Amino acid sequence: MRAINDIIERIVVALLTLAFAALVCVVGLQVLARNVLQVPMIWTPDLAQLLFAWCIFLGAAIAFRRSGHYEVNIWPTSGPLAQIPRSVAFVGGVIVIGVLFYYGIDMTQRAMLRTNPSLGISELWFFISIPISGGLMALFLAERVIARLSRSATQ
Amino acid sequence: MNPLLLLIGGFFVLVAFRVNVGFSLILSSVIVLLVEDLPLTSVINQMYRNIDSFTLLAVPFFMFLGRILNAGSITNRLLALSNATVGHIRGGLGHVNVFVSMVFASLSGSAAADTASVGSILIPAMKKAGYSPAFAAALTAASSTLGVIIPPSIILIVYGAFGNVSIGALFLGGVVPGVTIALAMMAYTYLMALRNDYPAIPFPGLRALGRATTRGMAAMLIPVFVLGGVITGVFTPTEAAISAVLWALILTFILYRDVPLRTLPALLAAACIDFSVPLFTVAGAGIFGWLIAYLGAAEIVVDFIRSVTTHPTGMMLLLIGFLLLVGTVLNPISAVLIFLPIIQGIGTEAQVNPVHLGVLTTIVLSVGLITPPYGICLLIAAQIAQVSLGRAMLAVLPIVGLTVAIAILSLFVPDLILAWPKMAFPNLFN
Repeated sequence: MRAINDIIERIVVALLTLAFAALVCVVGLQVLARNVLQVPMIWTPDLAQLLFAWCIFLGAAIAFRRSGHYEVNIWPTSGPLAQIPRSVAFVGGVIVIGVLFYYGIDMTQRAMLRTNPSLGISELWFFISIPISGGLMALFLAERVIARLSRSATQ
Repeated sequence: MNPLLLLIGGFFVLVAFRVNVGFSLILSSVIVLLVEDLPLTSVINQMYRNIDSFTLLAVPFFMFLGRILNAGSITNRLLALSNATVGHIRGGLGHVNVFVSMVFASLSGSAAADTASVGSILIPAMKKAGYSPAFAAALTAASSTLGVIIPPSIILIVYGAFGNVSIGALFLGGVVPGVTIALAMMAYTYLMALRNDYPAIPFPGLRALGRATTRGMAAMLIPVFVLGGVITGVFTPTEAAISAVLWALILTFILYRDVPLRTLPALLAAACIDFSVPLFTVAGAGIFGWLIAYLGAAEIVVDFIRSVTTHPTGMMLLLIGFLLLVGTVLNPISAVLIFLPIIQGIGTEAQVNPVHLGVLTTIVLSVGLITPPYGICLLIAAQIAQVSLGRAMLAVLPIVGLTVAIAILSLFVPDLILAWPKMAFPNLFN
């Protein structure tokens, strides 16, 4: 599981790099076009928004694997209560990831029928980053659970 | 159970159980949506709607800018410049610490990045020069919160984007209180230096000062770009951010060539994962904020506050107390996103100008970055200084006091914040 997720992570990080580089170029182009060349472009804001969403939701999945999201550490880390947060985080994680995945697909299906006027592509591409992010997080959560189970089996 | 109580209570319980902030926002909202029998698709809809904003695009670019500055020699050039300008005052390294954070703050809006980069250089140097490690950690952490107040500030962008306040006016409003807080920190450093006999760095001579200035000049153009462009209305914050990024890329990779071009993909990826965390929280706050508004939280809180006091200053003091409390557990972005309707509700009731309210909120929330348990800047600094968090906390308290005092002062002297915005945006103040 870890080996597979390592490969997935590498692919996603590569995609993120490309998406963010493209975002920098697109917005850079937009500023250049508006302020220097005086020819406003109609497709750049929508493309920027599309790339922005992909960067955020794919990046959030990677941050989830690396435990990089904001957490507040006031719970005791030792003693009998120390194990509670793990279970709460697991159950909570399953629900949130489930909502992102299931309702993300639902939303994507609704958006599929609309076409973005300036880019000429289906709006499905805007929303599908959310269920994909949920799917990736599910894989990463499964990895964590398997690692913990095998650790407690060997003890 | 009252759905509003369930929403906010549920959120804090989840956060206490170490569920990350973004997930806690979504999960507590999901529970309330289920209880209230509202459709769950609105979670995704509101999440997406919250990030569907061209203004927010400034956030990734400013965070990327921070990464570029740290990778190359720009931070070092700024340090050299600070050394040459304020190093010869008594308590020299302390002043350099505050000064460089102030300049760094005007370049990028990330406080934790500033603590890590400036701290890793200056804390060991300060310890070596005889400063107490706790003081070194406290000053480094406190001075890096200037990045939250002095523009371009990510918090002010988020506040302006979601609170419908001019970001240009908020930026300008942050300058004077930010610099005042920096000067207060330097005055405090001077007193501590007299008491503990901390040394000054010998003045390097006018020639060295001149050289440091030329070397730092190109980087110093960035804040000129950003502030000048946004205030004159030539640039939107996002356009200013991307221009600053392009300029920093040219400096680092073409003019100074202190970082090889092949590291660029890694920088892009790191920045992307950096900004996805606050922006995922922004997305999660979409549904949470929608519920807060739907359930009428602002009215309830304002009613409650009105039952305690109807005096505008009293209301604002209560708000400051509330924000200080919230800031201890939540980072400023999350706090602004979650409580913005309540903050603005109280501000309207107390008849405080929206620009004033935004800057004041930001100043008070910035204190949370150096108070436990979520004092991320103090944690980083204490770790670098190898000093216990408790001692660093004690050392940081006087500086926290100074910052809060300046925030309160602005209630009696609103022009501390509003003088510059009034000059630049007179039409906002009629």
